[in-house]
Amino acid sequence: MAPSERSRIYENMIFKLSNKRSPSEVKLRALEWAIVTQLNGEKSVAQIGEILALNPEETRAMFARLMEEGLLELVYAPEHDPYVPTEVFEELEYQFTYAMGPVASIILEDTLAELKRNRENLERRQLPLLIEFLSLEISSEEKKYQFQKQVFGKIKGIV
Amino acid sequence: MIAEFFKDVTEISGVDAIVLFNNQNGVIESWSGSKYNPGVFTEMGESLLHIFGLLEYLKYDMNELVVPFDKGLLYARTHPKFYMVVLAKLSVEVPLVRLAMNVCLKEFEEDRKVKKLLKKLSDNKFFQIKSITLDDTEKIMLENILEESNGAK
Repeated sequence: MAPSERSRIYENMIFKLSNKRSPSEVKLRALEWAIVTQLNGEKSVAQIGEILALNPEETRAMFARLMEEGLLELVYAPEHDPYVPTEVFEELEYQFTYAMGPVASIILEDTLAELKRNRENLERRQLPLLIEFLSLEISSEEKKYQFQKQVFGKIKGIV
Repeated sequence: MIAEFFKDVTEISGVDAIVLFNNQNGVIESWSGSKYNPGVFTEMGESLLHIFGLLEYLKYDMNELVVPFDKGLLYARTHPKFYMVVLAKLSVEVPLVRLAMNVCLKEFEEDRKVKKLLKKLSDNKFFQIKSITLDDTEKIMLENILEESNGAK
């Protein structure tokens, strides 16, 4: 894994403890130790997060730190692309333009920028949040509902 | 009703239960993917009735609550005639639940049979709060909030 990719921890990745370095060589916080005790090469990142009652962001951050310290060995990485496919953005833009008119694509790009993302690196799990932000821009309640209904129909299979 | 109108919510991976309450804290219907003790729903509903009742009385523009629950989260949504609770795992994205609820609730409200049912339900939450269910601290807090609110008027 390249250094830039190390921090990319996905929820369905599975890790085990690396035999190259011992956790006792690193100064770990209590919750990071708790993660270490859960690693068995079978539980996914999300499952461990749930067991320890951590939110997904915290879980990913702690796994990223353990990864950077060289304590983890990847057992399984998801085959499917964790990012939103381009055609979903096309559909989203189409539906949003239907609700907002020609400014839709500008608002879409601005909203992605606020999330510090672009069309190439928005994770699937972030798609509902993007839709929520876009919905806030639609003043008509009926149009907002129609937009959410149409878009939800398209995304429910991929998030 | 839940299986019919809130299928999109029940199908979200990590959603464990959905409960529909009337404004008297009665469970109209519940759907549960995993095993839950029905007593849990009543206790949970009572706390939410207190919160939503107070929000309604104070005319706060707030129609949902998300709080940690057990090892997951609780997403509650209020409506003048009822309130709903979704119990989910922490890994579930709240915006996804909210989006699914927005879509499903509208279809639910617009159904002819549901409209008939809603007509029969009371549309008041605050005056359904039974003082016997409040402990002393809650009573004092409630009195203070109401005094402040009445003072502001």
